[in-house]
Amino acid sequence: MSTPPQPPTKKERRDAAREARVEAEQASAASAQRKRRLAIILGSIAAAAVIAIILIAVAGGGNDAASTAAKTGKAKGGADTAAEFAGIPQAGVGLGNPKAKVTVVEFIDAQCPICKAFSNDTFPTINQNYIRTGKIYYQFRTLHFLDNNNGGTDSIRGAQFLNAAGFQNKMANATSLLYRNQGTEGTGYMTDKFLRSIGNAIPGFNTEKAMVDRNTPKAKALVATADALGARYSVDGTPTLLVGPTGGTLAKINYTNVSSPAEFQAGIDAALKLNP
Amino acid sequence: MTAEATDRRLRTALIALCAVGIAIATYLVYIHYAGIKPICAASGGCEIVQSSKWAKFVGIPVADIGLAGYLTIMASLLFLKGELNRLVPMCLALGGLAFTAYLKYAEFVLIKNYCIWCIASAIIMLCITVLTVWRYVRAPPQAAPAAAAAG
Repeated sequence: MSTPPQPPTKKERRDAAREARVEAEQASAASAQRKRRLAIILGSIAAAAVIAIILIAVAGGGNDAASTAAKTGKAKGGADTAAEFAGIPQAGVGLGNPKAKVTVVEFIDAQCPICKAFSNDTFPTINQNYIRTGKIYYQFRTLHFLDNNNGGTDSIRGAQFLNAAGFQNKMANATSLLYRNQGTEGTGYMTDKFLRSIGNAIPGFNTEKAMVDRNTPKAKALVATADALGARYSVDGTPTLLVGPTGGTLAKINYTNVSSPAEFQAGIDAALKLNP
Repeated sequence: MTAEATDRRLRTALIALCAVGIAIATYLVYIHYAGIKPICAASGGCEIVQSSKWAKFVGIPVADIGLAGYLTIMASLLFLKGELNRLVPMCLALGGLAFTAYLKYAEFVLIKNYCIWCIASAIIMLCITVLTVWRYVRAPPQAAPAAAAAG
């Protein structure tokens, strides 16, 4: 004979209710914890994404002169550059009087920031005192060292364009403008847009012709000639300036400060004294 | 497998991944300061990448930053306790992944060359990030003292 189930005692009911309450509280706490963790994960991922986007924007973005030039389609300084070289004969890579007794050869790299400093700070004095007066004949020779350092193509692209500008006897204008609007080294800023903006800022210049000419064997041969000349004179950096008798052997101008015209003038004056 | 056992295994895997990351970063730091060329048979782009301007971030070699990052993640896995042992490595890994994304952008888009060591490091950082997030999600629930003590 079985006894009928006894109803739970008051204590048992109280214990069961407490157990149920504890379970519910634990389930609620676990749910809250899951929600909190999810919020933390999503917040962390969002923060990481923002950091990555900012870093990439800073790395690849361009608020420099080069990107401004590329955006506007016309580089800054066209009028100033035109005035700088007005009345001075230009032919190919040469600037000034080819019959001058003394020749100065400048080795440049289009993306070299030190070349920019020379172009902006020192070259105008040399141009005014020696080239414009017919005392020296000046040549630009384009090297492309920096592509090897940063794995880019800015130097070679700039070199070919500058030599192509020489076909229209505007290499000095293009060189000066390129440095005035130079971008950050190794960022790939020497785009077709940027090069067109340089060409568009030169009065009377046929930009599209230069864009075609830069890829011709003739333009590439000039780059190779510059390489060979640089190797002959053991040029291992830019800017390097050689000076000496026109048609003769040249010697490097030693300098410590690329922005000091006096150091370069001293080298040129010495050559002029030797070749009166 | 219990949540605690999974957590322990994930932690061990993360420590192992950090060790590999530390080894790669140490090698890159060494070649940077020794001025020697990295062994780079597969791609040939290591030297270009390592000598580019992107090889430094605010003047600090990125190899140094990578080494510091892996060491910090490993230290947080070894020495922090409880929830922090899961949360801090995850946050550090996500930060590391963000920095890695920036470096990969520079490598493939700006420099247009790649370095196998950098790619290996990036893959490790990605794995560490995935595992730390997974570990944080799957972490055993924390004890709720208030509820347990209630009565």
